[in-house]
Amino acid sequence: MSFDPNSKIEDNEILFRAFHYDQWDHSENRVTSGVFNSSGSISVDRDGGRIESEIIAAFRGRENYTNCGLVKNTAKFYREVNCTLRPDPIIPVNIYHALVDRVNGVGTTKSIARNLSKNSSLVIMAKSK
Amino acid sequence: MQSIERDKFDFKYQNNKYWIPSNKEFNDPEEWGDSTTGSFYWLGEYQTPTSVVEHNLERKINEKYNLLIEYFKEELDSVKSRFEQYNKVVRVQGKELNAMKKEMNLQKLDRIAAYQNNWNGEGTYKFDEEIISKAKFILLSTDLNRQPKIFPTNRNTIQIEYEDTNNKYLEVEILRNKFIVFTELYGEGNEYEVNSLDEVIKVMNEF
Repeated sequence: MSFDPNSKIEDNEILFRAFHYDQWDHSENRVTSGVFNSSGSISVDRDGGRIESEIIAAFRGRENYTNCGLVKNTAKFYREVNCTLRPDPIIPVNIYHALVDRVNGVGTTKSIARNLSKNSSLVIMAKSK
Repeated sequence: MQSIERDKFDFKYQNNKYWIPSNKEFNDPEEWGDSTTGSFYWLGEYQTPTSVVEHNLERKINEKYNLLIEYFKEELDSVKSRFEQYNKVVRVQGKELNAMKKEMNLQKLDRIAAYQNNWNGEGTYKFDEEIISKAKFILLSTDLNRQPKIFPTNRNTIQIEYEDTNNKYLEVEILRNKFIVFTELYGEGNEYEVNSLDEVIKVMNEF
Protein backbone atom coordinates (compact mmCIF):
# COMPACT_ATOMS: atom_id res chain seq x y z
CA MET A 1 0.00 0.00 0.00
CA SER A 2 1.53 3.30 -1.04
CA PHE A 3 1.57 6.36 1.20
CA ASP A 4 0.94 9.81 -0.12
CA PRO A 5 3.15 12.17 1.93
CA ASN A 6 0.94 15.14 1.13
CA SER A 7 -2.37 13.49 1.96
CA LYS A 8 -4.63 15.05 4.56
CA ILE A 9 -3.95 13.74 8.06
CA GLU A 10 -6.94 11.63 9.07
CA ASP A 11 -8.26 11.49 12.65
CA ASN A 12 -7.39 7.81 13.00
CA GLU A 13 -3.72 8.32 12.14
CA ILE A 14 -1.13 7.95 14.89
CA LEU A 15 1.45 10.69 15.33
CA PHE A 16 4.85 9.96 16.91
CA ARG A 17 7.02 12.40 18.83
CA ALA A 18 10.63 11.85 19.97
CA PHE A 19 11.87 12.56 23.49
CA HIS A 20 15.13 12.53 25.41
CA TYR A 21 15.72 10.28 28.43
CA ASP A 22 15.85 13.29 30.79
CA GLN A 23 12.36 14.27 29.66
CA TRP A 24 10.77 11.18 31.14
CA ASP A 25 8.91 11.81 34.39
CA HIS A 26 9.56 8.63 36.36
CA SER A 27 7.11 9.50 39.13
CA GLU A 28 4.20 10.05 36.71
CA ASN A 29 5.38 7.43 34.23
CA ARG A 30 5.03 9.69 31.23
CA VAL A 31 6.89 12.41 29.36
CA THR A 32 7.06 15.95 30.72
CA SER A 33 4.96 18.54 28.94
CA GLY A 34 8.29 20.10 27.92
CA VAL A 35 8.37 17.55 25.08
CA PHE A 36 5.41 19.33 23.48
CA ASN A 37 6.39 22.82 24.60
CA SER A 38 7.39 24.78 21.57
CA SER A 39 7.46 28.33 20.25
CA GLY A 40 7.69 26.97 16.71
CA SER A 41 5.66 24.23 15.06
CA ILE A 42 5.99 20.77 16.60
CA SER A 43 7.49 18.03 14.48
CA VAL A 44 5.79 14.64 14.48
CA ASP A 45 5.92 11.59 12.26
CA ARG A 46 2.79 10.03 10.79
CA ASP A 47 2.45 6.27 11.01
CA GLY A 48 1.83 6.06 7.24
CA GLY A 49 0.55 2.52 7.56
CA ARG A 50 3.82 1.24 9.04
CA ILE A 51 4.14 -1.06 12.04
CA GLU A 52 5.71 0.36 15.21
CA SER A 53 9.00 -1.54 14.94
CA GLU A 54 9.52 0.02 11.50
CA ILE A 55 8.74 3.47 12.87
CA ILE A 56 11.18 3.04 15.79
CA ALA A 57 13.90 1.79 13.44
CA ALA A 58 13.31 4.73 11.11
CA PHE A 59 13.53 7.26 13.96
CA ARG A 60 16.63 5.78 15.51
CA GLY A 61 18.29 5.34 12.16
CA ARG A 62 18.34 9.12 11.73
CA GLU A 63 21.22 11.27 12.86
CA ASN A 64 20.74 12.76 16.37
CA TYR A 65 17.86 10.42 17.19
CA THR A 66 19.88 7.30 18.01
CA ASN A 67 18.93 7.26 21.69
CA CYS A 68 15.53 8.89 21.51
CA GLY A 69 12.33 7.50 22.97
CA LEU A 70 8.97 7.75 21.25
CA VAL A 71 5.48 8.64 22.43
CA LYS A 72 2.30 8.63 20.38
CA ASN A 73 -1.10 10.34 20.23
CA THR A 74 -3.89 10.08 17.71
CA ALA A 75 -4.43 12.87 15.20
CA LYS A 76 -7.96 13.08 16.59
CA PHE A 77 -6.64 13.91 20.05
CA TYR A 78 -4.38 16.65 18.69
CA ARG A 79 -7.45 18.19 17.08
CA GLU A 80 -9.48 17.81 20.29
CA VAL A 81 -6.94 19.96 22.13
CA ASN A 82 -7.24 22.67 19.46
CA CYS A 83 -4.29 21.85 17.27
CA THR A 84 -4.05 21.96 13.51
CA LEU A 85 -2.09 19.34 11.61
CA ARG A 86 -0.42 19.59 8.26
CA PRO A 87 1.76 17.23 6.26
CA ASP A 88 5.34 18.48 5.87
CA PRO A 89 7.26 15.72 4.12
CA ILE A 90 11.01 16.17 3.99
CA ILE A 91 11.84 14.45 0.74
CA PRO A 92 13.62 12.11 0.56
CA VAL A 93 14.76 11.96 4.23
CA ASN A 94 11.41 11.72 5.98
CA ILE A 95 8.23 11.54 3.95
CA TYR A 96 6.16 10.95 7.13
CA HIS A 97 7.03 14.31 8.70
CA ALA A 98 4.14 16.55 9.77
CA LEU A 99 3.78 19.79 11.73
CA VAL A 100 1.48 20.68 14.61
CA ASP A 101 0.39 24.17 15.65
CA ARG A 102 -2.28 25.60 17.88
CA VAL A 103 -5.41 26.92 16.19
CA ASN A 104 -4.77 30.51 15.00
CA GLY A 105 -1.14 30.44 16.12
CA VAL A 106 2.27 28.86 15.90
CA GLY A 107 3.53 26.23 18.31
CA THR A 108 1.62 25.10 21.38
CA THR A 109 0.41 26.65 24.61
CA LYS A 110 1.37 25.21 28.00
CA SER A 111 -2.12 23.89 28.44
CA ILE A 112 -2.01 22.03 25.10
CA ALA A 113 1.47 20.69 25.87
CA ARG A 114 0.29 19.36 29.22
CA ASN A 115 -2.77 17.71 27.68
CA LEU A 116 -0.64 16.05 25.03
CA SER A 117 1.90 14.77 27.55
CA LYS A 118 -0.79 13.43 29.89
CA ASN A 119 -2.52 11.57 27.09
CA SER A 120 0.47 10.27 25.19
CA SER A 121 1.37 6.59 25.20
CA LEU A 122 4.90 5.30 25.39
CA VAL A 123 6.09 3.48 22.28
CA ILE A 124 9.71 2.99 23.29
CA MET A 125 11.75 4.36 26.18
CA ALA A 126 14.72 6.60 25.45
CA LYS A 127 18.17 5.24 26.14
CA SER A 128 19.91 6.74 29.16
CA LYS A 129 23.34 6.54 27.43
CA MET B 1 -52.73 -1.75 99.56
CA GLN B 2 -49.95 -3.06 97.32
CA SER B 3 -46.65 -4.28 98.72
CA ILE B 4 -43.31 -4.61 96.93
CA GLU B 5 -40.02 -6.16 98.02
CA ARG B 6 -36.92 -4.22 97.01
CA ASP B 7 -33.44 -4.28 98.53
CA LYS B 8 -34.73 -6.16 101.56
CA PHE B 9 -37.20 -3.39 102.31
CA ASP B 10 -40.86 -3.82 102.31
CA PHE B 11 -42.43 -0.83 100.60
CA LYS B 12 -46.02 -0.13 101.13
CA TYR B 13 -48.17 1.76 98.71
CA GLN B 14 -51.01 3.72 100.13
CA ASN B 15 -52.77 6.93 99.18
CA ASN B 16 -50.64 7.31 96.02
CA LYS B 17 -47.38 7.21 98.03
CA TYR B 18 -44.70 4.66 98.86
CA TRP B 19 -43.59 4.34 102.42
CA ILE B 20 -41.44 2.04 104.56
CA PRO B 21 -42.97 0.72 107.68
CA SER B 22 -40.20 0.94 110.21
CA ASN B 23 -39.99 -0.24 113.77
CA LYS B 24 -36.79 1.61 114.14
CA GLU B 25 -36.38 5.23 115.14
CA PHE B 26 -33.43 7.23 113.92
CA ASN B 27 -32.33 10.18 115.92
CA ASP B 28 -29.04 10.73 114.20
CA PRO B 29 -29.41 11.64 110.47
CA GLU B 30 -26.10 9.77 109.86
CA GLU B 31 -27.93 6.60 110.71
CA TRP B 32 -30.40 7.21 107.95
CA GLY B 33 -27.96 5.63 105.62
CA ASP B 34 -26.18 6.65 102.50
CA SER B 35 -28.29 7.46 99.50
CA THR B 36 -25.67 5.87 97.30
CA THR B 37 -25.53 2.50 99.03
CA GLY B 38 -29.03 1.40 98.42
CA SER B 39 -30.34 1.99 101.90
CA PHE B 40 -33.77 3.48 101.90
CA TYR B 41 -34.22 4.70 105.45
CA TRP B 42 -33.86 8.24 104.20
CA LEU B 43 -36.72 7.74 101.78
CA GLY B 44 -38.89 10.77 102.13
CA GLU B 45 -42.51 11.35 101.78
CA TYR B 46 -42.36 12.44 98.14
CA GLN B 47 -39.72 9.98 96.99
CA THR B 48 -40.61 6.72 95.36
CA PRO B 49 -38.39 3.59 95.16
CA THR B 50 -38.26 4.21 91.40
CA SER B 51 -36.59 7.58 91.89
CA VAL B 52 -34.05 6.00 94.24
CA VAL B 53 -33.20 3.27 91.74
CA GLU B 54 -32.88 5.88 89.02
CA HIS B 55 -30.59 7.91 91.24
CA ASN B 56 -28.33 4.93 91.89
CA LEU B 57 -28.34 4.03 88.24
CA GLU B 58 -27.36 7.58 87.29
CA ARG B 59 -24.55 7.53 89.85
CA LYS B 60 -23.23 4.27 88.44
CA ILE B 61 -23.43 5.63 84.90
CA ASN B 62 -21.55 8.73 86.00
CA GLU B 63 -18.84 6.61 87.58
CA LYS B 64 -18.45 4.56 84.40
CA TYR B 65 -18.54 7.72 82.31
CA ASN B 66 -15.78 9.28 84.42
CA LEU B 67 -13.71 6.11 84.09
CA LEU B 68 -14.19 6.21 80.32
CA ILE B 69 -13.18 9.88 80.21
CA GLU B 70 -10.02 9.05 82.17
CA TYR B 71 -9.28 6.15 79.82
CA PHE B 72 -9.74 8.31 76.71
CA LYS B 73 -7.60 11.08 78.19
CA GLU B 74 -4.77 8.58 78.74
CA GLU B 75 -5.23 7.15 75.24
CA LEU B 76 -5.23 10.63 73.73
CA ASP B 77 -2.00 11.52 75.57
CA SER B 78 -0.43 8.32 74.34
CA VAL B 79 -1.55 8.96 70.72
CA LYS B 80 -0.29 12.56 70.94
CA SER B 81 3.08 11.38 72.16
CA ARG B 82 3.35 8.74 69.40
CA PHE B 83 2.23 11.31 66.80
CA GLU B 84 4.98 13.69 67.93
CA GLN B 85 7.54 10.92 67.66
CA TYR B 86 6.38 9.95 64.14
CA ASN B 87 6.25 13.59 63.15
CA LYS B 88 9.85 14.01 64.23
CA VAL B 89 10.86 10.96 62.19
CA VAL B 90 8.91 12.20 59.16
CA ARG B 91 10.57 15.63 59.42
CA VAL B 92 14.04 14.08 59.57
CA GLN B 93 13.28 11.71 56.69
CA GLY B 94 11.69 14.56 54.70
CA LYS B 95 14.87 16.60 55.08
CA GLU B 96 17.01 13.63 54.02
CA LEU B 97 14.76 12.96 51.03
CA ASN B 98 14.87 16.62 50.02
CA ALA B 99 18.68 16.57 50.26
CA MET B 100 18.78 13.48 48.03
CA LYS B 101 16.40 15.09 45.52
CA LYS B 102 18.53 18.23 45.48
CA GLU B 103 21.64 16.16 44.74
CA MET B 104 19.84 14.30 41.93
CA ASN B 105 18.48 17.56 40.48
CA LEU B 106 21.92 19.13 40.49
CA GLN B 107 23.38 16.08 38.74
CA LYS B 108 20.61 16.24 36.14
CA LEU B 109 21.22 19.95 35.65
CA ASP B 110 24.93 19.24 35.07
CA ARG B 111 23.93 16.68 32.43
CA ILE B 112 21.60 19.20 30.75
CA ALA B 113 24.33 21.84 30.81
CA ALA B 114 26.57 19.40 28.95
CA TYR B 115 24.06 18.76 26.12
CA GLN B 116 25.35 19.64 22.68
CA ASN B 117 23.37 20.99 19.70
CA ASN B 118 20.72 18.54 18.45
CA TRP B 119 20.54 16.84 21.87
CA ASN B 120 16.96 15.86 21.01
CA GLY B 121 17.06 16.00 17.24
CA GLU B 122 17.00 18.96 14.94
CA GLY B 123 16.02 22.32 16.40
CA THR B 124 17.41 21.63 19.86
CA TYR B 125 20.51 23.48 20.96
CA LYS B 126 23.11 23.68 23.68
CA PHE B 127 21.59 25.31 26.77
CA ASP B 128 22.21 28.94 27.57
CA GLU B 129 24.46 29.33 30.65
CA GLU B 130 22.17 32.01 32.04
CA ILE B 131 19.25 29.54 32.11
CA ILE B 132 21.37 26.85 33.78
CA SER B 133 22.62 29.31 36.35
CA LYS B 134 19.06 30.49 37.20
CA ALA B 135 17.91 26.89 37.60
CA LYS B 136 20.87 26.17 39.88
CA PHE B 137 20.08 29.25 41.97
CA ILE B 138 16.53 27.98 42.55
CA LEU B 139 17.61 24.44 43.41
CA LEU B 140 20.28 25.66 45.84
CA SER B 141 18.13 28.33 47.47
CA THR B 142 17.81 27.80 51.22
CA ASP B 143 14.44 29.57 51.01
CA LEU B 144 12.98 26.80 48.85
CA ASN B 145 10.77 24.49 50.94
CA ARG B 146 11.01 21.40 48.76
CA GLN B 147 12.83 20.27 45.66
CA PRO B 148 10.87 20.24 42.39
CA LYS B 149 11.26 17.96 39.37
CA ILE B 150 13.34 19.46 36.59
CA PHE B 151 13.23 18.77 32.86
CA PRO B 152 14.78 20.16 29.68
CA THR B 153 12.22 21.39 27.15
CA ASN B 154 12.45 21.13 23.39
CA ARG B 155 12.82 24.89 23.15
CA ASN B 156 16.03 24.76 25.20
CA THR B 157 14.60 26.06 28.44
CA ILE B 158 14.42 24.38 31.83
CA GLN B 159 11.06 23.44 33.24
CA ILE B 160 10.56 22.87 36.97
CA GLU B 161 7.43 21.15 38.20
CA TYR B 162 5.44 20.25 41.26
CA GLU B 163 2.66 17.76 40.73
CA ASP B 164 0.34 16.79 43.56
CA THR B 165 -1.84 13.74 43.53
CA ASN B 166 -4.80 16.01 44.21
CA ASN B 167 -5.10 17.51 40.71
CA LYS B 168 -2.72 20.36 41.49
CA TYR B 169 0.13 21.21 39.15
CA LEU B 170 2.71 23.97 39.03
CA GLU B 171 5.15 24.51 36.21
CA VAL B 172 7.81 27.21 35.99
CA GLU B 173 9.67 27.57 32.74
CA ILE B 174 13.03 29.30 33.05
CA LEU B 175 13.80 31.46 30.04
CA ARG B 176 16.79 33.74 29.62
CA ASN B 177 15.02 36.96 30.65
CA LYS B 178 11.82 35.82 32.40
CA PHE B 179 9.90 32.95 33.97
CA ILE B 180 6.58 31.59 32.75
CA VAL B 181 4.39 30.15 35.47
CA PHE B 182 1.63 27.72 34.60
CA THR B 183 -0.73 26.35 37.22
CA GLU B 184 -3.47 23.80 36.86
CA LEU B 185 -5.99 23.36 39.64
CA TYR B 186 -8.67 20.74 39.09
CA GLY B 187 -8.31 21.05 35.31
CA GLU B 188 -8.35 24.87 35.27
CA GLY B 189 -5.16 26.28 33.71
CA ASN B 190 -3.61 29.68 34.39
CA GLU B 191 -0.48 31.15 32.81
CA TYR B 192 1.47 34.28 33.78
CA GLU B 193 4.97 35.70 33.82
CA VAL B 194 7.22 36.65 36.70
CA ASN B 195 10.52 38.43 36.42
CA SER B 196 12.61 37.74 39.49
CA LEU B 197 14.05 34.62 41.09
CA ASP B 198 12.67 35.67 44.49
CA GLU B 199 9.15 35.79 43.02
CA VAL B 200 9.63 32.33 41.51
CA ILE B 201 10.66 30.85 44.86
CA LYS B 202 7.71 32.58 46.53
CA VAL B 203 5.31 31.09 43.95
CA MET B 204 6.84 27.64 44.43
CA ASN B 205 6.62 27.80 48.22
CA GLU B 206 3.02 28.98 48.09
CA PHE B 207 2.01 26.00 45.95
